[in-house]
Amino acid sequence: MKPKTKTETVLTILKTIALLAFIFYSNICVMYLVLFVASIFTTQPFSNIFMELNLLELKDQNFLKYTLTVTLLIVLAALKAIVWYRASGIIQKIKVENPFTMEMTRRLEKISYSILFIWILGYIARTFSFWLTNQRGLAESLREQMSTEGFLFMAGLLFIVSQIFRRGVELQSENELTV
Amino acid sequence: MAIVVNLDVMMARRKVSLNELSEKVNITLSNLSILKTGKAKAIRFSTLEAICEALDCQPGDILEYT
Repeated sequence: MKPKTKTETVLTILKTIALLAFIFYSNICVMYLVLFVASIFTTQPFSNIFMELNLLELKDQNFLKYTLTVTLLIVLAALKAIVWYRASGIIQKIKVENPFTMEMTRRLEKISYSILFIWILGYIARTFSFWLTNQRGLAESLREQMSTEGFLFMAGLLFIVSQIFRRGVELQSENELTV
Repeated sequence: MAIVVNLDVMMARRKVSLNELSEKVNITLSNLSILKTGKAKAIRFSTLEAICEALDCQPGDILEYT
C-alpha cells in the first residue's frame, strides 16, 4: 500500500472538517425550520439554544417581522451549509497530480459567489436588524448572530484563487499542446 | 489559427507514414497527430529541427502563414 503524502493527509483532514461543518450547518438549518414551524402552532418561543436568541416578544408584536427574521436565519444557515458542501465536493474531486481543471475553476467561482451572497444577505440583515426587532438588545444579538464580516474578504480571496486556477488551466493546456 | 501545418503534405511527398516519422523524430504518435491535425498551440525548435531533418525539408514547407 502506497504511503500517503503530506498533501493527501491534509486533504483528508480538510474533507472531514468540511463534511462535519456541512452536517453542523444543515442541522442548524433544520432545527431553525422545525422550531419556526412549531412556534406557529404552539405558544413556545423560538429560541436558539446555541446563540440565546429569544424571539418570543417579536413573535407577539409583529408576526411578519418575526417570520422575516427567522427566514433570514434559516437562509443564512442553509447557505453556509451549501458552501461547506461545495467545499467538501472540491476536496473530494481534486486530483493532486493534476489539480488545474476547468471543473475546479468553476467550482471555486461558484463558492466565491455563494460566500459573497452570504455577506450581502448578512449585511442587509444587520442594516435592518433594528427595524426587524424593534428592540435595541435583540437587534444587537441579531447583528452578532448574522455577523458575516470576514465573508467579503473570503469571497474576494477565493475569486482570485479561482482566476489563478483558470490561468493555470490555460497554461497547462498550452503546455500539453506544445509539441 | 493563422499558422497552418502542412505536415501531411510533406509526409505524402516523402512517402513517410506517421508511425515511421514518429520513430525517426522520437516524438509520440499522439503529439504528431496533434501537430498534423492543427491542434498544436506551439512547437519547439528541437521538434521542428527533427521533423525537417527526417523529411529533408525547410520549416517553411511545414509551416505556412495564411
